[in-house]
Amino acid sequence: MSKDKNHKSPLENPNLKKSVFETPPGYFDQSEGRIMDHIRAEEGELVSNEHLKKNIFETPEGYFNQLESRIADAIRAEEGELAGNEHLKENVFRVPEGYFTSVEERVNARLGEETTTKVIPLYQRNWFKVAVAAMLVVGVFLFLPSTPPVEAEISEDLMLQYLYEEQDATYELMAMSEDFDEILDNILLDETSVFDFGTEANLELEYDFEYFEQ
Amino acid sequence: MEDRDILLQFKSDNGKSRAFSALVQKYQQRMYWHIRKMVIEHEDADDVLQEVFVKVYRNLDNFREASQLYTWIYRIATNEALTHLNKKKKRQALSYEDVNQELANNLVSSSYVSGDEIQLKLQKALLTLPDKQRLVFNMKYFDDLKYDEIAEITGTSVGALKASYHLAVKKIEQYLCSH
Repeated sequence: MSKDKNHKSPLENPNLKKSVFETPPGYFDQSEGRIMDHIRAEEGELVSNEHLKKNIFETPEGYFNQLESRIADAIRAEEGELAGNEHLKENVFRVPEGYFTSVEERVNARLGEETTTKVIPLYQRNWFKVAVAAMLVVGVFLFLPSTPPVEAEISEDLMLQYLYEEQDATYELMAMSEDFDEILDNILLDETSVFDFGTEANLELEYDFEYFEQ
Repeated sequence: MEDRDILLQFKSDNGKSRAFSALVQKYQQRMYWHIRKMVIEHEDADDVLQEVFVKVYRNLDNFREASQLYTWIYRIATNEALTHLNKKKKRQALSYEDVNQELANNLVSSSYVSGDEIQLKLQKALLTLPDKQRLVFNMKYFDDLKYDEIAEITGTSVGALKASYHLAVKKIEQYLCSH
């Protein structure tokens, strides 16, 4: 143990920690300048050369003075007769005389009708009873072991033939159309500009699901 | 009456009918013309208009004021007009071209339509467009609504609306030049 205590590692010699490397005199004072030189050398002539930066393109004389009016002309040409044509914008539809004075009254009448119409539960409605009875009769008829299933009357071949004919007719219709591109455009437009009557965007309209039909 | 006051009064027990009356008076004409331009015939427009206000009455309590009242009613009117046209097509098992052709014929014979040759020609041109394109055109061209407003009413992106309007203008131009 005592032997270990007296033992000194050679690495503890402070001289060993001194750097043995040296730099040329003034190296760090000049380093920034040399780095910039290096960058400039890499970018070549472009960066510092003002002559090369000059725009060599030209426009016809007075081009920018006329630009605004030419853009306006282009827009007018684009929209043609429609743009700014106040005559075309006029309302051509008319209403019977005094129509607007009667709207409120009739809306209220319609509201009244709806509230006075008694709501009959589904199971109490006559058509519902008849439908249930009919379904029961048909059901019993279908599941009677001696009765062949109704589907058997339509053969698979017949069904396939129908489906093929249907498909052919669609293809034929599409092939016949001269405006095929236009139809596609319309389908595409319809799909991309579908009015999103989804519930998320229109919380207030959650109540009405009939809009989803379209 | 301001929309805010209408909403407040409608929610109070004794102000409900007065508020609704003010709402109908305030919006009936704007909504009527919006609907009329879509369904063309006065009787249909009248029916749809009443339905719109019935729906407004039934749902005003649920109106969450996330959008303006005006936009909300406009949206209901738009929905009802489009639903009406769809039902008409289904009922008569017709394509939109057929229904719109019929509407174009009625334009001429209806006693509640005026306008000179070019104005009627524009209406006929409009009836060659798909309903939604016609709707966008009406709102932009006749009602001078901004794309942002139309986007809010229809729930469509401004980009899609611009494309739709542009296409509508092109088709109408073509129609006006060739007829």
